Amino acid sequence: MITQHLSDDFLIEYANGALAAPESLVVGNHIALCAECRARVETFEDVSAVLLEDGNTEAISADALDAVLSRIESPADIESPADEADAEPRIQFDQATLELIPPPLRSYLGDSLSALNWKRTGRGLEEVSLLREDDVRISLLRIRVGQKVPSHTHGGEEFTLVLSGGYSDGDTHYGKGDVSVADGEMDHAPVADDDGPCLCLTVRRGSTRLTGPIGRFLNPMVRG
Amino acid sequence: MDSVQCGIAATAQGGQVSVNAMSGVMINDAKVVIADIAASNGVIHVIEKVILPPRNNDQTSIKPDPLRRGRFFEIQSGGPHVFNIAAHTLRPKDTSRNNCFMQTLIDSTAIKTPAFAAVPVMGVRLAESKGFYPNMKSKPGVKSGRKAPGKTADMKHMADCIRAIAARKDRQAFEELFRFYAPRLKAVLMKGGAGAQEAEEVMQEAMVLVWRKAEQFDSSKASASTWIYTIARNRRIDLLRREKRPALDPDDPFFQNISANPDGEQVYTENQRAGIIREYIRTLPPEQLLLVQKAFYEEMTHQAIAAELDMPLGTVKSRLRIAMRRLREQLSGAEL
Repeated sequence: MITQHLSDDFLIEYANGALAAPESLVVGNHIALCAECRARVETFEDVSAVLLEDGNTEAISADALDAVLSRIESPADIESPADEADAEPRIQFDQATLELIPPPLRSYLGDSLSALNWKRTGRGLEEVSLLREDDVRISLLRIRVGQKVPSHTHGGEEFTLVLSGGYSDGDTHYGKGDVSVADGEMDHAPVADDDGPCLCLTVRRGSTRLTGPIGRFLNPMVRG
Repeated sequence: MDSVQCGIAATAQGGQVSVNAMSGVMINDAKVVIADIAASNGVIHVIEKVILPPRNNDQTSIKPDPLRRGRFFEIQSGGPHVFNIAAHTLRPKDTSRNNCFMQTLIDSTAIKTPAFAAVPVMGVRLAESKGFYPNMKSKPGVKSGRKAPGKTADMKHMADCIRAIAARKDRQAFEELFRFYAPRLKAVLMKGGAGAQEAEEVMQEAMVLVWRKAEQFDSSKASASTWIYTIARNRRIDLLRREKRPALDPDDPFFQNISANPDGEQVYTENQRAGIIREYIRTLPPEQLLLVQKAFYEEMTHQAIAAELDMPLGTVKSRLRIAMRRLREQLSGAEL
């Protein structure tokens, strides 16, 4: 039962294609897990489609139809990321990975979960960096059973999507499919459930700052 | 809240207009299509045609329909209002805080149930209201050079065309889709910021993908327009930033323990769902319609909308949220 959803703001920008790629990855994977938000996105797409139907027309080039008709006959014509994404993944993931990693996330993984380059980033905390670009970090996070993550704040927003297991943060529990959006102000200290490890997708903007008494000493390390 | 009832409102020329709110709000024989636009010096209601003042105070043409029970037209604090009528502008003599005048726009879209009692908005000027609805410019008879055939598509037929491509590579069906969607896709791509050439290219590639992916089309999941829109959107995103949005395959092992559909969702035919959405959009109060237009047609971020309209980001978000929550209510609660 998913209780922590994404707000319509994200879903609308995802549906109209305006949302930045890292945030879109969070939305895409959440809606793979969450039928309710998926239905919302589909409704938003329907709104755009109705406006498209009723919308203006723009003169198209005179030979546009002929150009398209000739292209549909040459099969190897478009080499597009869209086609690649639809094609069978080149990597043969193991069954555990296929069951835990939503399809929109798979192209970010170079290998099955067990074969990834997990790095210990804290006590009971392992991380695989999937992408690091400008001020964005996309990672998989594995938190040991019952482990408390040091309290921290963020320079920007942090999205956490639970892929398996769960954790609590204050009074809120996050289970599979739940997503949390922490802004730069929020100081939080998640604790993993004690019935199994917790696997999360995290997308962070800006740097993370540890705020606990010991954590402050560790800041230079987590930012590296 | 304004209260609108039926009756006769006097105009300053000495004429009268009938006001009827039995089925939508009518001023004489003109439907009110957008109500309660707050202008700098009053409130504007957009009606669907020009009301001309009667010649020689001829009042016979504007008597209210006796078959319809009527009461007088009341606004806010109540009391009958007297309007000036000058060409297509109606203006009340009363210039107190209930100041209200009516302005017609020639080209607007008929709306069956206008939200006449909408909460008045501040800061929306008539000039902007022209852009509220994307097809205003392309109404017949008004300055428009480019009008594609058919105002609203028959979604069942469009879906049949896609299925015909999937089943037997039907070129004629494809040409039909192309004629309807290609000029519209190009327009929406350009509205979203693409140059003419870029928009043409993305449109053409999207249409090629429509042909190639026709077998993946499932009308129980998306209408023809929604399916084609998402193909074009994904193509645009691909070219822009190589972000991948794979179609979700329900047979994927990932979905074995995940529900495919939310509980209690209404099932509509292809045309019903689009019809409800279209009707809902047309009855939106103007301030929400403008935002829906920016977000869903011009494909702007909330941040960009806030900047363009000089509006707090929180207001943009909350208005869109409210508009979409009501749409979901319509879709889940509509009686069929």
